[in-house]
Amino acid sequence: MEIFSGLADGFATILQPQYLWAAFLGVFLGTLIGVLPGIGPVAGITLLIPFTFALDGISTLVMLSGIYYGAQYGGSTTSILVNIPGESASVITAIDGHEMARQGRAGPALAVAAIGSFVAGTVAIVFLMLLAPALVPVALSFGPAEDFALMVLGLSLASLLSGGSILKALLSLLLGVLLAVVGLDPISAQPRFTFGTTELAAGIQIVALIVGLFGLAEVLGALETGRMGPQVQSRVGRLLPNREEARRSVGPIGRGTVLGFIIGLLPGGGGIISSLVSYAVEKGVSKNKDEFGKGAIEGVAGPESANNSATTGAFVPLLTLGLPSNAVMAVILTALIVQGLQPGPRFITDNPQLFWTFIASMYVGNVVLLILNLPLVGVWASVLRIPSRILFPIVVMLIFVGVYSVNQSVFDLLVMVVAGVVGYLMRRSDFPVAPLVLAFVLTPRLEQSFRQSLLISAGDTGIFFQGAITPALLITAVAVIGVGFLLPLISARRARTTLEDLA
Amino acid sequence: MMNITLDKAVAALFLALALYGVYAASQMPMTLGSQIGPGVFPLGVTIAFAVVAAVHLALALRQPEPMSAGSSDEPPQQDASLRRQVAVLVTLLIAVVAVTRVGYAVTMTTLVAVSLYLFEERRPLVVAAVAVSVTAVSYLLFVVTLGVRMPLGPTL
Repeated sequence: MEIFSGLADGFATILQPQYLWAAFLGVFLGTLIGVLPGIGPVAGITLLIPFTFALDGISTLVMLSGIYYGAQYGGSTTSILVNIPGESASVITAIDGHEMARQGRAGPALAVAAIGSFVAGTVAIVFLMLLAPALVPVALSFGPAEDFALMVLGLSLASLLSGGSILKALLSLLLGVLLAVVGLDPISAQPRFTFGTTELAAGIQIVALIVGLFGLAEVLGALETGRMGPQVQSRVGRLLPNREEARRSVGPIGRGTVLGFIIGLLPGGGGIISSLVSYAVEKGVSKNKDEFGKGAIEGVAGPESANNSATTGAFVPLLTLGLPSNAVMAVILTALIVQGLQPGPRFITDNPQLFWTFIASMYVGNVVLLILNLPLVGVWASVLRIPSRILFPIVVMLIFVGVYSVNQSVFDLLVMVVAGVVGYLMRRSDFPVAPLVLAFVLTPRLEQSFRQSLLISAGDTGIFFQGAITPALLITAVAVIGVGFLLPLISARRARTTLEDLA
Repeated sequence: MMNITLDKAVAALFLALALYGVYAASQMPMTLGSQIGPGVFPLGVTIAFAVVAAVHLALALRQPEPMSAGSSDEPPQQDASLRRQVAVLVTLLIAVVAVTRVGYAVTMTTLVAVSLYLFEERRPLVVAAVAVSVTAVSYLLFVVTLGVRMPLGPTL
């Protein structure tokens, strides 16, 4: 009953014009960000953070979450029509979605992606609504040692699942931790890595860092590719899927919804991994395996449902444990902290109105997403006519205004430029940037729980090996890193064996 | 496509940064009365950073250099890209210095115009129209509507 009354209160709030407007604006901007190749959701949301300062906490959360799931869907439009994923989670959609477009079936591909996203998003909210409050008592039982171990595990999983070399992921993560301790020590006010400057005493400004790492690095990357013209696009044609296409989409949407939600719960999980897993599952269970890669509608329905469901799933660890599971969530966490809201074990009990309004906003947002995307698909397709040579100079200006507006600080702009160069070099040499951002956001809490634990135990590190939860979490974290090192070795050995067999 | 030489350079840079971090953290107090001091956490992190960076650099140095591609059009293209990237960064740095002196309108119009040129939009009328209109719209949206505080220039 508590759920229903909470949800009713949430709807009563969200249906007020200013919150409906925030939901609409969030979904609209998110879809736009997703449609435009080159501006991912992380850079897009980060750019918009300074402009949420004028909003209240509810509007901020509603708008930013709308941007997130709007971007997840918007990316599929670009994938299907021009074979360039608007954001990483849509890479998989491009395989069969673009093939469908080439066969003159762009409309059904876009419609199935929209309907799948809507169904998955709506069902996943029910899971979120039931699971998040149920996790609160568990989260509240955590002391500083458990909190520390949980964050170590979260960061380990994020490193493993960021893809590529685990060593590079760990380096990225440790760089994020190091950057986060720059500034005055919160307990003793001792300067740390400030080089005697007053600007660094306040620490590195997160918006400047993230906008540089994602936004400016994106601009520098675009200059490298030299693709400055408009994107070529296919005709959309008939929009609704026929009976056969609809029948073949039902199973993948259902499986994608469940898989996506579960994967979204994991730190480091989210869009791209859920899409990959869903695609693999659909290919495995399909009776039309040979159609995959040649325009199978299951290859669009499953991954698109999974990545939208994962978006919702990722809010569970954020709202109950204060643990962002990916870089977008880290940015949303930052925006909420700026608003004076601290997601964590007490978030739902201390802010029931905000939580239930947020849940209701996701239902509303999913309806807005469907309305914006099905009838207006032609409008979104026309956005792709904006040439990159016009788009990126506008992004350069937004980056500049966005960073400056936070503190009116010229130093923040310099930090953004340096971060942009670092982010670009990291991408060029295959260092994942997401672990850096997650570590940067989580380190203040990580260090605080580490020091509180040692304060409670009078400096005895044995506190991290007491009880069942802390050691279990830490051992799992070590095992996760171990798996990260072992997997490439196993793959290399298999490849060698195969080559020897062939010889 | 990963660049092996760049990978080694980034790995070396990370190791140098980590070693400096270990040195700087070791100069911080390790105790604070009966509590652990502000240096313990950074020291632990920088040591771990240095170890991982050293292992990564060692592995990167074992990677073979890529074969020379011979004569191709890529190097001149890469040089052109690099020049444009550096030009964008320099333009941004000039804008950083200029914004508090000449204000939002002049800085943003110039920044957008130069960026358009660097992104190969060379039609003067288009450059002027986009630079002025984008600056005007952004001013109305951010400064007037959203109340974002931006320096408006010496005369305002």
